[in-house]
Amino acid sequence: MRCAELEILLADYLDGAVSGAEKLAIEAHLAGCAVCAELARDAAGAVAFMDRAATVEAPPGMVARILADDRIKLRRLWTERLLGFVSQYVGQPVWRLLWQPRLAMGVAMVVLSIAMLGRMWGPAENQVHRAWDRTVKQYESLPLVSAIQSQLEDWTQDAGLNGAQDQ
Amino acid sequence: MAAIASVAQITTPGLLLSQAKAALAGKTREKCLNADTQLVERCLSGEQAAWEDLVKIHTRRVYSICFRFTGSEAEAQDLTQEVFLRLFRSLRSFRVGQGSFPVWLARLTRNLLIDHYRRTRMERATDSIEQQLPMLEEKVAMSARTDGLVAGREASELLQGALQKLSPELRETVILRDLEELEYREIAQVLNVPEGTVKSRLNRGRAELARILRRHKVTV
Repeated sequence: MRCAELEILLADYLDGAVSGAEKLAIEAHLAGCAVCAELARDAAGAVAFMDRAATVEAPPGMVARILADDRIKLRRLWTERLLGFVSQYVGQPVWRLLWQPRLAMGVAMVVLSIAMLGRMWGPAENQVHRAWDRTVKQYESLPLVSAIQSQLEDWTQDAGLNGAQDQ
Repeated sequence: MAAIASVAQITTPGLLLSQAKAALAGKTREKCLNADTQLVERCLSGEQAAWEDLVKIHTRRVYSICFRFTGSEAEAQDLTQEVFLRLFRSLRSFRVGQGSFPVWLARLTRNLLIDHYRRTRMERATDSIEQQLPMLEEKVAMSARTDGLVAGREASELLQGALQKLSPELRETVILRDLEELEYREIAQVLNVPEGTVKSRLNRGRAELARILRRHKVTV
């Protein structure tokens, strides 16, 4: 084993994550190489020292200070919400997109609405025609309308007769 | 043979402890991964409570990395706040397939720390020699009155002083592995270097740290 190889394996050796054969090779190298033996001793010593050192805790007001930061606003514009929603699904396979319960429910509702509209369209069309005919009939049977219509017809006939006499 | 004996003496209890730690950390990490992903999704849908939970869960680690790296409480507090602001603004770019949330957050923190390090390099060049050396020596002198084998808060303070003397690349590797207990694979993702480089930097960082502490009469 060369010193460069040991340098890579040393970290795993100190973690106890090397195989039996590697462990023997490392220890054989350390026995014959004073420089690497010193490196191993120092590294192991530093690890032991750091294990004895207390962990660092954040000061008590740190979380409150971050949460009170005015620059962080969680409420977003609807355009940002829409972008966020779309960006979640961009680049994902279609089946995963359709698998989303909200989206599947939405698609189902749209299909159902179209089917219901189709079923209702035929009777609705007939009803509209009948209503139109009824309205026209009622309009024409109004006394004022019939009076105007007969007067108009008279004028048309008179105009026709006058024209024939002139010729 | 003496070299092997002394290394083996130091490593054997350490090996068992490291293996137990790794197994426990693996299980805890898996649980946290799902919880974090759900929290991120809830934050993206505009839920205030989810953002609060995310901040509460990750503040300690972010602050710890910042404090260990800068060595200053005030700077660490400002940088932690800045990390969460940057996190909030880039939360939408987090993708589960690209690694776990803590690794992503550690990378964000590290990038901010490196930016800060570069920005304040000139100020530190004048400060470090005059202020940091006497600080460490004073702490060591106080601890030397006892048996020399320091632990707990005292060890933490000595470690803090010694860490500041490491180069940024060795310091960040030691912090992420030995103090924040990230996997080599995760550190490689955070630092954007191969795993071999992480291990090599870690060995050099640890050895350098031991030499600095020993130079100041601290038993390592």
